[in-house]
Amino acid sequence: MWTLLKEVSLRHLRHSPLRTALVVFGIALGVCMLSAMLATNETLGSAFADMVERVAGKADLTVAGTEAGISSTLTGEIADLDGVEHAAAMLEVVTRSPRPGGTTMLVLGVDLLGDTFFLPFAQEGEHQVVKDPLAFVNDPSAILVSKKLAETQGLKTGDDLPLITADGTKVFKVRGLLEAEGPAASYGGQVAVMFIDAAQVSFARGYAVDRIDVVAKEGQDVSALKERIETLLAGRAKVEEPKGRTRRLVASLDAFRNGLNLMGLIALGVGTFLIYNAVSVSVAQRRREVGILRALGVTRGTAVRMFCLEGLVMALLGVAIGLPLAQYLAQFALTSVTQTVARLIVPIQPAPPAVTLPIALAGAIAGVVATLIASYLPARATNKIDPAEALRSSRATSNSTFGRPWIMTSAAVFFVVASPLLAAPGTEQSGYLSSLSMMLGFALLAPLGVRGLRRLFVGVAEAGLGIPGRLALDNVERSLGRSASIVIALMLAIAMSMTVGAYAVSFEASIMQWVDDAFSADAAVTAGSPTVDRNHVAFSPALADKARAVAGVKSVNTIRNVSTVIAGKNALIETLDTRMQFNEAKQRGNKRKVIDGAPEIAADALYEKQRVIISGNLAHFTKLGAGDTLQIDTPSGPQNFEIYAVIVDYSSDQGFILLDRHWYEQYWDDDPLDMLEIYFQPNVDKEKVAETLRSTLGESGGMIFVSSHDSLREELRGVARALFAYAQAPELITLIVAIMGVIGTMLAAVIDRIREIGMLRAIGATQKQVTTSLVVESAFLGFTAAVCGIVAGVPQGFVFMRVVGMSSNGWHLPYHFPVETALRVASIVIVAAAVSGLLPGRRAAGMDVKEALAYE
Amino acid sequence: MIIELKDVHRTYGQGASRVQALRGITVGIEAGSMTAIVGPSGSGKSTLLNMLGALDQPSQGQVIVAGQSLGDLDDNARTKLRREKIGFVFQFFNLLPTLNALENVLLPAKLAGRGGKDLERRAEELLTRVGLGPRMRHRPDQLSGGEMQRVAISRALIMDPPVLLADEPTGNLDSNTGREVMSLLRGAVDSKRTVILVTHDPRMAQIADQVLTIRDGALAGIERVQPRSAEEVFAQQSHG
Repeated sequence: MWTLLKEVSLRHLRHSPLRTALVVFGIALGVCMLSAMLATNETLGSAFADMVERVAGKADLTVAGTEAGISSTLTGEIADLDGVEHAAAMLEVVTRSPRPGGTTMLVLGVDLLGDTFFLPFAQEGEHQVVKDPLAFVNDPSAILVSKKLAETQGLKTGDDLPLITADGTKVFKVRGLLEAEGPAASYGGQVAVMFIDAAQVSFARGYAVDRIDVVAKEGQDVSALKERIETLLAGRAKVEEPKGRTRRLVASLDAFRNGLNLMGLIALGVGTFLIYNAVSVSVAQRRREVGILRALGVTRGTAVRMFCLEGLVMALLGVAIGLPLAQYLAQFALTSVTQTVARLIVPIQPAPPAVTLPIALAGAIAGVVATLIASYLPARATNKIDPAEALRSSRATSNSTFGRPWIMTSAAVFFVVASPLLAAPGTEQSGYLSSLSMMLGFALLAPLGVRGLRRLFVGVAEAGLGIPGRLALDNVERSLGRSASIVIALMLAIAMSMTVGAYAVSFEASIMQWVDDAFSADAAVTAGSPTVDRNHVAFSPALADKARAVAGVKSVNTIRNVSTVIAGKNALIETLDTRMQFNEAKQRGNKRKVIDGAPEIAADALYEKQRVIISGNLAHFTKLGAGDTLQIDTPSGPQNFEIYAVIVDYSSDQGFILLDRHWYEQYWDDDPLDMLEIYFQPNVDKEKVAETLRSTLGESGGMIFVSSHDSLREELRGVARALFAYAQAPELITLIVAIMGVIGTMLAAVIDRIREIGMLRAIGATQKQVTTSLVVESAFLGFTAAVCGIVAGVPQGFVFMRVVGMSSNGWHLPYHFPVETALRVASIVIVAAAVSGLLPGRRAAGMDVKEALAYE
Repeated sequence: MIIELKDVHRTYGQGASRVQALRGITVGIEAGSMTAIVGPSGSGKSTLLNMLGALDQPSQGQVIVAGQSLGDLDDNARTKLRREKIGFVFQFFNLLPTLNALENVLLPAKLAGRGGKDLERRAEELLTRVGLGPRMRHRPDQLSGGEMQRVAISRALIMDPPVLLADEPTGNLDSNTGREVMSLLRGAVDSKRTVILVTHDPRMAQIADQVLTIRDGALAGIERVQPRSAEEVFAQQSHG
């Protein structure tokens, strides 16, 4: 075996550098992508877990509520419970410095005068950070910053640090620097600490706190203590172990992490295809050699093992190249994903990603196993080589089983399996099954597509390009097996792009329609960010009064968003004056789309009774509808609300609840606001009023954004697009498949047709005609794949949105055909395929004619 | 002379692997004649034929085909020369499997950017003349070996070239079919074309006007013979 490897295989690897490079590239691509995605995921997950765990610190249990927080009086009640050793409250606020280049930071409000066990800094002995705690708590501008934050912002003790607060910009005084330990090392080290009372005032949090950390007495059963705290809370807040909170937060990353893992696996699949393709070509070209070896006594099994061993050698090379590159790719992926995650889920500042030993091993094993499988399948073809026949003729005959009755029957079966799942949305698993079944059906039908399109376009090709065009299309059909193989691979990649593209386009179109229906105001006011996202900062109700006083403003609706856990999801509660909103919407001819309940929403429906309106996805998650009762945990205990209607709403993928402001004031006792909806007087100059609002509200310098309806629309369009930024990845993969796959396929085609090309050159074909023919053949492969991929992508996108999308976020989005994606991907594939045909084309055209004619 | 070779040498490789395929060949071939090139395997027959067909260039010396010296021509000009002045007939026919007989015959014309009804009529006439009138819409895999070679001969004649080169044209055919093919090639000479063929088969040489014997890359002999018809040669063989 080793002799064969040394004397035969390794020589081939050296003498076919392009094919060897193709296989090594395929392996490196798969290993690099998979390892990079794993590393990115690991780093993202760690950043989340680290953030939660560092803040939780030494706590056995954590009591928390919604963004509105929980009453600070609970701290004392919990501390008095049996079995509690320590209990301390903490406020967590994300804000930013309005300075140019000012980053977001986590401000922790801690109680220096209470139980100091949880303080995120040393406060005992000679290392105590706050030398005079009384002076610190008496100075509302006193703040401690982590050394990392000080470094980022160029701060030292005694410097001013302006921050956006509920009342605009306030200047704080740096009173000390914190070591990067415990909570001070969370949030990428961008952490500041204030006295809790000062933080409550600065961020308009009243007497609320975000969490109460609890440590059980030694020997105390934590579960039993948890039950006691739950009884005390009576639904006013949730108590859980820090691990549970970590899990829930990390789970909110699932969509991104699944997407990243999928990309890694797809890349590995693509790499496997490239290897399969290259080894198939190698086996076909070496039929004669295998025949000789067999005649010399090499067994069938040894011949198969020889090709597998060749694959293994290339796999090791690919792994050696892919793993170092994974580090760079992971850094790139993490940077782009972090921005989206920070804006939409939780602001995180992850550490640089690391391709750790387990990740490297996983990538290497996946690469080697994929290579062995991809080598073994075509290598089995050597079993069928008859030594005598192979010695008579070395040229591989291109034949195909495509189009045979069993193929057609199988395709039909796959479509039959897929269709009921397509018609009736089920679970995520049934969606994937339907999707897989459908793609197998399309894969089996792809050769028919090749034939059909060839017949349709052969006349056009001959008329436009002469005989080289005709021969190009003839050859695509002639080598149907090989053509179909690259067409199927590209088709799958294109269908994937079309699926993601359809989802992105449908999502964006639905969001835009929803913004028009749901947002009737002339302008919106936010702080810290133009939209209510994770970078925005809550502000004081005083800002609403200032807005009301601006000339040209008719009315101001105050909006507060908080979240609550319902059916295991972090549903968003939006609270506002619903009567104002519904009346204004009616006057402007806007209407929310009702899925369940009265088609016309009465203006005072949510005011006169304890009612809510919920989104379609929350109805989907809770299995509740109009007329049902929804229980919501509030700081005043659980409250029941009648569901007045179910509407189309895309505010949150975790579910949305619309609640009238006066119920919120009654049960939540929470002052800060997240947004103002401003309605202008009729016939005013909207730009002028908006400008006045900007100058009036921005006087306090709190990074106030006054967005018009159109600019808000564009902001949301940006958010929608950011969510699908990763949709470009399948297109990159498609491009790689197109280039590498087509080069491999066409090189094999050239080798198969050497004598034929020699004949063409002998009877008068110019080098340009030979090149043209091969380039057209390549481009036609790309074109066929584009047509098949776009056709297959439509039902695939439908299934994805209907089944997979519904089960993950509960949104029922109407399907929109992704015209832009289709045109872009088709152009990429056709151009890439044509360009990829140039190399084999030139090689063919430059062949020595007499040698080509003598080729056997 | 339609073809002239003046002290033609052809060397492949360098150093220890250097092979001298042709050594100082000087010969002229008259227009409208049939020349057979014979010799043992590896003697340089095919190299010489490649030279005549503008598929190869001499390392030294001069090859003049239809008045043009190959050394003065670039790749495009040599392609043009092959397209217009030379017809090729190969041992393995080399028909394109995706084209039918008629389309295969028309292939050189289409590569030259020519087409139209006149050429199509000419192709039909050529196929009819070689007895393939009823089978001109058949693809190569539906034709026998002899039929394929007749299509190949028709293809070689479609551009009406003055020179026809044939490399072992009967090497892959049975005796009867070989006779038919040789008759066709002889017929081409009678139509004032120059036919040069490489063969192992001594019977083929009897149909030619002149026989060039190559041995170790050198011209071992030029023999002018009284050509006999293919029927005569093959009849004698079957009786003998």
